[in-house]
Amino acid sequence: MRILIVEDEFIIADEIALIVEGLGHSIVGPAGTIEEAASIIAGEPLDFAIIDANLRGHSSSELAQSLVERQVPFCVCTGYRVDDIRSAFGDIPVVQKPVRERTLAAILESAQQKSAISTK
Amino acid sequence: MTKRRLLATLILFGGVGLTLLAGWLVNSYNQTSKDQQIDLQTENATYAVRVALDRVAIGVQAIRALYASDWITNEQFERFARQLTSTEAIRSLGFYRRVTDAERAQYERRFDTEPARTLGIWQLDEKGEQVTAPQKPVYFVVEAGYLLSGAQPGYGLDVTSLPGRAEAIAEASEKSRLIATKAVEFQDARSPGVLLFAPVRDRSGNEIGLAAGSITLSDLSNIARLASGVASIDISLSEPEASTASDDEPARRNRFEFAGQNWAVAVTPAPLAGALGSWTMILVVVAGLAATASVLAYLYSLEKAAEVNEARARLAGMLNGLGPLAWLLEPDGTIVSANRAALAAFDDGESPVGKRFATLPFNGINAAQSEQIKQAVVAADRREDVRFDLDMESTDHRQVLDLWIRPLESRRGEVTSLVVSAVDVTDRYESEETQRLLMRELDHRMKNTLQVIQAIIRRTAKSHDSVEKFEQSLIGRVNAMARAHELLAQERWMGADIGTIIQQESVNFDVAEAIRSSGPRIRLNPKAALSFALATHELGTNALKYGALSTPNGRVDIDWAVERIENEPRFVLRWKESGGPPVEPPTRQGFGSMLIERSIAYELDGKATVDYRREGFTCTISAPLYAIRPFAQEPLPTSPTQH
Repeated sequence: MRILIVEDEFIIADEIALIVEGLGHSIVGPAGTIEEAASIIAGEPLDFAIIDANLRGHSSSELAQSLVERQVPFCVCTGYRVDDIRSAFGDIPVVQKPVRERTLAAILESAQQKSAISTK
Repeated sequence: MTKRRLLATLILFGGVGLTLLAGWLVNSYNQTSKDQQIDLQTENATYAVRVALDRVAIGVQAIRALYASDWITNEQFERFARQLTSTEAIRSLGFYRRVTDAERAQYERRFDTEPARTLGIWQLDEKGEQVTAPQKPVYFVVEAGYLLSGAQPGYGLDVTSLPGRAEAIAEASEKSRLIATKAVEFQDARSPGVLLFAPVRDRSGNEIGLAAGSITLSDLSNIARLASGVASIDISLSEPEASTASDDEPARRNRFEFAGQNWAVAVTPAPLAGALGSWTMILVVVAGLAATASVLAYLYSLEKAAEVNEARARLAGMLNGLGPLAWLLEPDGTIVSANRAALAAFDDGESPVGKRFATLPFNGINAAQSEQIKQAVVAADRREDVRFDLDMESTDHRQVLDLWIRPLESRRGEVTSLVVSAVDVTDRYESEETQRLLMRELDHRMKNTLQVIQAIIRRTAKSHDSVEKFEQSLIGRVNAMARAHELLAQERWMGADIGTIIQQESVNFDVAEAIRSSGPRIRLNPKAALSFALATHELGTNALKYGALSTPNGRVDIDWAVERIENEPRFVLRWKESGGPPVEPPTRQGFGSMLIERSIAYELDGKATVDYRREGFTCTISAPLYAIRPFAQEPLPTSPTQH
């Protein structure tokens, strides 16, 4: 899958990229700002997105909105509590920082299965 | 207070004392007047008794005079005696002839009526039979007599044989005066009575007999009762010498001596005038005590009223001194009173008294909340205790009141009024909110930091082949982060000075004298501070391992400045090594270099360029000023809920 990583902290973006690559996916990005991420979402084919909830002090809920519009499944990766995130983003998968490889793998796997069903 | 107590005590004792005194006076006056009346009645009765006795005595004297003059016939005596006895209650009058034993036989011949004609001088034996009198020196024989009852007198009877007569006869003879018998029984009368005797003498002074008269005690007392008007009279007789021994007899027994006997007259008084005496005393006492009690009750009520007023004033003062707003309501929610704070809260110049509590114009209240208050008042009227936070928000104002409505119940359990209190808890709400945000941010930051450490571990592990090197490298990086965090924490995460960051990292390399740093004071935002701290750490580590700091003569110059590049103010930091071993470019890029080159670019829109010049390694890092400067208002957590 082509997976977009949106994360404003370089070390974390690098870490997630390492995990995702290790799971056999290819990386789009990572994007560290909302503008950058928005242009990628608008212009590149994506199978999944992992987005940080907050980029340089701005909520990334508009990114979530455009991902929904583009029908790109995604999860939010954050240090904030799940309840706080859900109240802003709706009922979406949330991955808590620090990211566990196994959690991310399960989410990606289920996304892959869903897309496989929908393309059939 | 104590003055009043003293007054009350005085009134109590004074009132009760005066009442008792008045009662005693009334009672003793009544007693005196009663005693006087009884004495008077007794006096009257005694007088009447004496008058009646005098009449009998006069009768006896008359008989005496009659027989003293000459022999008179029985017919003459009878006519005379009938007249005397008819008007008075004289039982009998009679004449007893003194007969010596020598004269007896001659005298007996005169009898022409039975039993004397047969028996001669006679008397009654123990069985009451008429028998001839035994021989005596002297006999007193009934010669004439008249009985009011009309019965025939016992002619020929020797009266000395009858009980009680002989002594009186002897005394009368001896003293030659009127003498009365003690109370004796009469055969023809139910009541006992007395006989009065007076000796009769002829012209030459010889005693020829006795004049006698008698009266029953009941007749005597009846005559006296009618004459004096008392209820009843008790008459008793005793010897004159016996009177000394009767001290303990009732005081109201009048005594007098008459015909050698001591007479005592006691009366049962007729109904007395002013007999309500004892009632008046009771009335006076009751009225006095009632008056005292009323005065005390009045004083007590005055004291109570003063206490109540004082308590009320204290309560009002206390309520007015309270910070929270307080109201007293009728059970239907109408305001009765409000404390000063509550009045000030709605200071529109109108008194809230009489208004409905639910219609008070709380700032920022909405319709649903007004309804909630209304319902709470209704619930409180049903004895519920209602408490809730009233969170009112208008455009520029937020106020939260902790509103408490509770019923006040009477002893009978009726709701008499409602008490409302309102405490402003806005501050508590806001600080709770702030605290919640801070906690959330702290949580977020910690998790982020752990994520960074996790990434550092993974990257560090990938680039080191020995565990020792891995450990050393990892500890160095984590410590660098920790130092930066500490610095930021000291500044309350508002930012940190670049000079301090460089200084802190240099000291850590133990070769501080080989590092020179210079530049203006520039404050970095937390993110930039962390990035530069880590970058300095990586540069220093590399210099220690391979560069200028690996030899004693090597040195590092660090300087920074704000420069205008392509019309944009940028922060530029230069790292310049010299005096070290000849530099050769690395064969592969380590995590450190990647961190320096890419994280600055990624996070701060910056640029890092490295130059592996043979004479010394240099690194130039630049970033736009806007990306490194502290935010106007750091760091408060831009909540993800805010758009």
